Amino acid sequence: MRVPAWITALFLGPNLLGFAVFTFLPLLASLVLAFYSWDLFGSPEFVGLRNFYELIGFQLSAKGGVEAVNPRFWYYVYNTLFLMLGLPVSIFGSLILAGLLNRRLYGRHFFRLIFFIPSIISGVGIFLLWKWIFQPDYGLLNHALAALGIDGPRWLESIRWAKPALMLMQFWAAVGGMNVVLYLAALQNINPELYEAAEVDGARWWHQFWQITWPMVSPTTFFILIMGIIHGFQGGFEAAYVMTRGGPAGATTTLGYYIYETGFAFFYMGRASAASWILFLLVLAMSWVNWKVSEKQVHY
Amino acid sequence: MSRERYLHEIRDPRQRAREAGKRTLLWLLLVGIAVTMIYPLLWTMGTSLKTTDPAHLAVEGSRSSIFPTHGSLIENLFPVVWHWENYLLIFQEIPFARYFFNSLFVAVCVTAGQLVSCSMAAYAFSRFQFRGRERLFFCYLATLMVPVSVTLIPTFILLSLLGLIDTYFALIVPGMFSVYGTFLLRQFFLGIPRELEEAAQIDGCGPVTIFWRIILPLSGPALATLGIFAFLGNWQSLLGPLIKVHSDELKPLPLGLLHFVDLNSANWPLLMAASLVSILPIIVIFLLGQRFFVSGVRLGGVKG
Amino acid sequence: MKQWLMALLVACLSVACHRQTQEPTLVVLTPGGALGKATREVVEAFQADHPGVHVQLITSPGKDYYVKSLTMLAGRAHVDLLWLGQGFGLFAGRNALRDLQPLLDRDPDFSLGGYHPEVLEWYRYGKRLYGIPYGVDLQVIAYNRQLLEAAGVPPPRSDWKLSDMIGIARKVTQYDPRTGRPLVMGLGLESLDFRYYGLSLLSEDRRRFGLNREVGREWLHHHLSLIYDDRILQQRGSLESMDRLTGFLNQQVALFDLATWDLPEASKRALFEWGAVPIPLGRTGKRAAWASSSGFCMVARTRQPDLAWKLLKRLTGAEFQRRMLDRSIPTLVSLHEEFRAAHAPRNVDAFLETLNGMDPTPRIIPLQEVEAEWHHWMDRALLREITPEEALEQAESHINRILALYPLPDEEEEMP
Repeated sequence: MRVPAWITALFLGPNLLGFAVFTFLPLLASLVLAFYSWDLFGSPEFVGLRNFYELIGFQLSAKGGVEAVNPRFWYYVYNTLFLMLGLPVSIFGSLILAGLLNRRLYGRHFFRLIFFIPSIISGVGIFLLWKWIFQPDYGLLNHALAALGIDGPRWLESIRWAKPALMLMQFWAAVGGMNVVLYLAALQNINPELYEAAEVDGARWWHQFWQITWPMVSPTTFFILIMGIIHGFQGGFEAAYVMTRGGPAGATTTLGYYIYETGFAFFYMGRASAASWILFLLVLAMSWVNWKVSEKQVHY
Repeated sequence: MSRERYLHEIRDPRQRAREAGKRTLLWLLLVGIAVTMIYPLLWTMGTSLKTTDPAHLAVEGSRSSIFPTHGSLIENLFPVVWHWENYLLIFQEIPFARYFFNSLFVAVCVTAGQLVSCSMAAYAFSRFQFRGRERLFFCYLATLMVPVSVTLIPTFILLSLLGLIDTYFALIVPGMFSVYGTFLLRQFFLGIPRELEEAAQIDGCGPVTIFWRIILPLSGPALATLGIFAFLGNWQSLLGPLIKVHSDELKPLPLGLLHFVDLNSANWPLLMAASLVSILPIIVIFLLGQRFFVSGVRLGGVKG
Repeated sequence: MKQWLMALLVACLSVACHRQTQEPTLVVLTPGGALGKATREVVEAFQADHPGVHVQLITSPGKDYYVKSLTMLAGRAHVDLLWLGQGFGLFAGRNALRDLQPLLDRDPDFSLGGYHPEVLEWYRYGKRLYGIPYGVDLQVIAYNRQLLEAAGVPPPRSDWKLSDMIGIARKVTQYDPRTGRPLVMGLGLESLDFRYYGLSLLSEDRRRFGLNREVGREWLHHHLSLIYDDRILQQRGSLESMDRLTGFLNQQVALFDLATWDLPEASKRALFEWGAVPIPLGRTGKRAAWASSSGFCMVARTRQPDLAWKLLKRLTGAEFQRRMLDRSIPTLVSLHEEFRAAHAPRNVDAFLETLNGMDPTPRIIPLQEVEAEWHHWMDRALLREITPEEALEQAESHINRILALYPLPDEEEEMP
């Protein structure tokens, strides 16, 4: 709709002003810092693109080939992306769970509350509880696996299994919660006549799911996916902080944790800022792709 | 799904039996998932009733251990002696009531502020035509993508320059302009049919009237959902308050509860008791809001 | 309804903008918990003695303490005194702290004579004194007496050797024959400390990595064989983890590296009898135990050095040290008897004995970076991703490069 400029300003103004001052200014400061070297105590010193070079640059190796200046940073990018592989699974799980909770099952209001709980209890206690669940020799998980005749891996202590362990934990925390709430709402908006018509046509339930449910909830999926990508890229911080300290051998260090560690433990605030702007570009690229794909896919 | 009938509505007895069997299976599945979902909560409850008082520990034996290992999955949940007094102790050991009030006050203000500022901005982004609208919106969204830890120090410096460190203001106002909320509501507004507004426009209504009289009344579920999101997000935030607030009088719960955490150990029973009490408001809000927001948030399309 | 809500919102905001605290004279930063409580009591007593002085005590929880204090210091906020643990070299080396020596020289009522001289030395760079420690933190080996008795092993003596420790662990360790899972682990340590082998993380001059030597390789191989061949060592996560005691308290490990700060929890929560001995004598016949300390430092930019000094004396003096007796060894030698008495009937002599034979965390500026780098390579070696030789080689080249970036804190002394 066409409106006078002052109306736009009236509607947008408060939010835009607050946004500019409290979100944009600090961000701008961190962007500037990305081009400086700063150890938090002295005065920042301009270093141009050096921080970026030290993170994602390439150099000639002794053997004459090309090698990354900081291979570990690439490994942390990989860790972050790896942990995000759980995202589609948990989104799908949320949808299925919402589908179940939407049925006329006994006590479904109670279940809705139960499934919401993992997203509201958090804190050090829960992380340490998970650490003990994953404890390889005495923990609950391996004990349960042993009962099934499986010799469980060493989970958080092993380079190979630490990430899947964290993914399992994240799945647990994310599958219920707000995503189910959003999906429940989306499901209720689907016109029941659509299903009735499909039933008359003899469509089985998975046809109904793919032909009706999935497209009809796609705007919600889009929203959840965008937010999931954004959180996923920054995520893994608390788990690494409390449970693994990024180990073993950096296997659970995500970009979020690396940035924290670089800035607040190693005192390279400039490099930490540069890393977060690289992260920013990554998320931006992924969100943009998602946005473009969704324009074709999302039905409304 | 809403077309689904209650069992007693199904006339054909064989179909009813089949349907009952299917539903029982699904129900058992739900119960199974629910048990894994609720275990940490039960653990939290169990731990909150244990004690670290040596005089009691001797009586209670090995069950007083906090973290479960094999063989103690279930029994670990139950203390031998139920120390209900822990729930009184948290009020004596730390100014729990004060923290609770701070959290509540800040969360309510932030939520109210977000509802106002985000719904207005979201409406502008979803309906008004102005130059650079999409670009500005994407810029909004993009700021969500920078990790918090690098903006901590700039935020601190900014708030100190404004003289706002250690005030409620610092906790509340920056939280009122949520990008997340704007995004959520914009998606919702895009899903509202335009015919209503067009009709109102023909009747001579201005955008303010349309927003106030048509859009907002239609947005109950979406606003309720955002309300919960905002409340929950604020209730749990730790890093922001950590740097913005110095004095005990202003600390919100997540920060205050960590008084039970020492450098290398923690008073688990009291910490867990306090955490349990602190999630009560969220559960209340969830239960209150459930009927309201489940009845329909329709997040519209992507395009403007 | 809507109007009322609006009015309420406006009212709330106006309350929110109101600042209630008066401008403080002194600002003190400490972690919360028991330490924060003790600090608060001492600060309150100080205020009672100095009317008109308003001290603001800012406590922040556990590990977030560093985020908070770094943010405040980097943001040039008003801070006068701050608590610092083993990371204090990071601050001192970056000139964030004030030299206390001039204040000390001007103060006729105060002398450092009663303080444990070696620990005090850790806070001294050349002529400068960057802080005063109130407590020493170190580790001893705690043993579960019941588990040892069940295996028919007598408790260790304080002059035991590494081989004795391993011998006990072998006898105590038990695996479930059915599942092959451990029932009791002999050793539940953070790691097999290289100090037992007479090694140090850094060379004598703190310029180079110190473990890539013949003995170092031997140590790492031995470490691996204890985990995979003998299967008597359970490596446990990091030093600071809040659940570090759990395995010991659940009676799943027999020998455990108990730290001073574990004392309150261990004495309260252990439901079995346990004792403690100093760490075994090293290969060289000498004892070298990991050690650190806690103390208070003054921020370089303080505007009230004299007043801050008065408070700092209290926060590191006898009264404060008495409050911390349950979790750290007092630095005032005269209080050691009280430390012993405070823990009676449990015998804590092992801690006091260890005071002779400490190998403190190195005072270098990039301490955390070096330690993280070392853990990275050690993790990979212990997971058998790479050989011990490769790990030590890699760690050496990376750590030497980091060390070369920084001057040693005491070298800056000579620089103009």
